Amino acid sequence: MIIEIDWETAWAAGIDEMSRLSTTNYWNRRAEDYSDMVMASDCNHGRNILSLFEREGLLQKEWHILDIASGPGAITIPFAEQVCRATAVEPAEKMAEALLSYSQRRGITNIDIIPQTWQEMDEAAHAKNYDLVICCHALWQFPDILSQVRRMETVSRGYCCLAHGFEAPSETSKLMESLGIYEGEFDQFITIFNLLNDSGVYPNVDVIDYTLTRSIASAVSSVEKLVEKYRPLDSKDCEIIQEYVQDHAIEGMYKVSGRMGVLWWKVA
Amino acid sequence: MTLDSLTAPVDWVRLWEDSYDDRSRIMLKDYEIDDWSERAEDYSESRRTNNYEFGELVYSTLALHEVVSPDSRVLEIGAGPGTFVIPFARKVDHMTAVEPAEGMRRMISQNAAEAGVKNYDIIPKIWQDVNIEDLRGRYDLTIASTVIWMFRDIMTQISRMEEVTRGHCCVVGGVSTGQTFETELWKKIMGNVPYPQYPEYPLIYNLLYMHGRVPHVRLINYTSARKLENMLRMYRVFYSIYTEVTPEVEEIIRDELHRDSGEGPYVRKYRSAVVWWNPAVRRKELNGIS
Repeated sequence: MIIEIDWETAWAAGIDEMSRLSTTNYWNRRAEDYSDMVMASDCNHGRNILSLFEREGLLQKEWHILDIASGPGAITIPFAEQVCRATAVEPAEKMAEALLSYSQRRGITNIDIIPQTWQEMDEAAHAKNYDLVICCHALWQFPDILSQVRRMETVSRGYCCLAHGFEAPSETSKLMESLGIYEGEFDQFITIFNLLNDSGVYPNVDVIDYTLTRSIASAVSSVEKLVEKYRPLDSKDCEIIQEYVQDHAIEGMYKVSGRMGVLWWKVA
Repeated sequence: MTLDSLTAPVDWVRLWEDSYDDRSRIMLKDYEIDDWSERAEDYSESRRTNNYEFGELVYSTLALHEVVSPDSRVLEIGAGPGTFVIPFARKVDHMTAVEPAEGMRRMISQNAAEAGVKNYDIIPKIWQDVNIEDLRGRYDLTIASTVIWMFRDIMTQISRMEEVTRGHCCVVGGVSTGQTFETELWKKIMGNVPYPQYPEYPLIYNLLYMHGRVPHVRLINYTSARKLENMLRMYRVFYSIYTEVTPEVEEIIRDELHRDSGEGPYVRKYRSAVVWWNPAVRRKELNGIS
């Protein structure tokens, strides 16, 4: 780089509030609406990431993948359908329950769950265990992101992959604006991109489109809980959320489209 | 440092210009077209390594992602000795090379004849002088490698690249491999003068992203081999930009090359980022921003 930017410090500062607010308890509360979205969307973004590895000719049936902060399985499920084994790291009990129930309904039996945060997981005990280590839409959990990336590389014998929001759905941004919730201008994706390049990890970069579908009840619940991360919800908020979601729903379903940046590299 | 200053967007255009200006400040003279003619032979040997390994890797990367196909018409900016012209022409409908240096154009013809390639033409100009009105929308891909560092007005030239394609643009930029030979040689010749930066990647990604593009990237690794005579030619031209190339300077270069690889060949491992984008696809929140 021609300039000295401390990307690690910038990242830690930029995600500080989100990291503090998005606790395991928060995700337990979000489990129901989030699972509804993942299932109704048929794991759309996870399938698109899977397709990326297929198109590159890299995906192997023998693979054992590790999905960090799996939630209800948007990544775990599509990969488990195609590879030998998928291990999910998920500390939120209700998210893990949703993943188990979803996989059982689909007759998928090659998934196991490590009920811990990624930071708690002993990387030495899992050294070079996985062919692909993936963390999707959860990087803001890690203020010390580079240390966590290095730990991901420790447990990978093949590839690492970080998937992160590249372009938020415009519908979501508009709704947040009308609720007076300002999540700042900090660009997480480009910060991670530069942080990796600056530290000598030169990742490949892809951008995938995704569409998330959910019931009206799930959409309303998700936005209400998002507001509650920042402040108590009042009746006016509920009114705005209900009206917005109802107005934008089609045949009872609320759909949003966005883009996700996928940074992936072969571990040396 | 405040939270706002840590997390505020970076002005990548200014950084690009600063980098260009910093380099210019330590130059004795700017590159001239004749310098590139002088470089034709060594450049050609490098690009031809392993049967055009570099160009072939870039082609297969772009073909896998349907950026090029057998029907494609491709414009290469700063084609040098036929970096992409030769490997691509074997597989696409037509190649056009923009190349101002006569020595490089001769090398393209020579390399093309040897490869049995005839489906190409050459525009004998620097890219900035090419009238894009004549070329607008005539190509499926505009591609440049090891060239964009010459453009101080980077986004103007990127926009011009976009205007002549109805498909994609691609920039291939060098990435550090951690080799220290060049910086150590520089120090022996130039002392404490800072090593000049030719930053293409990841700076170009940031510029494109900042201006609303949606670029994709693949990293490729390749080899370049040159004989002693061509290494000396390359260094002679490079150092003449920054200092007087005296017999003593030549001696240092010779000694260091010998210490590194004996009588040669001089094999270097390189890594490049293949960055491509469709100009019609923009990040939503930046619609309308050029």
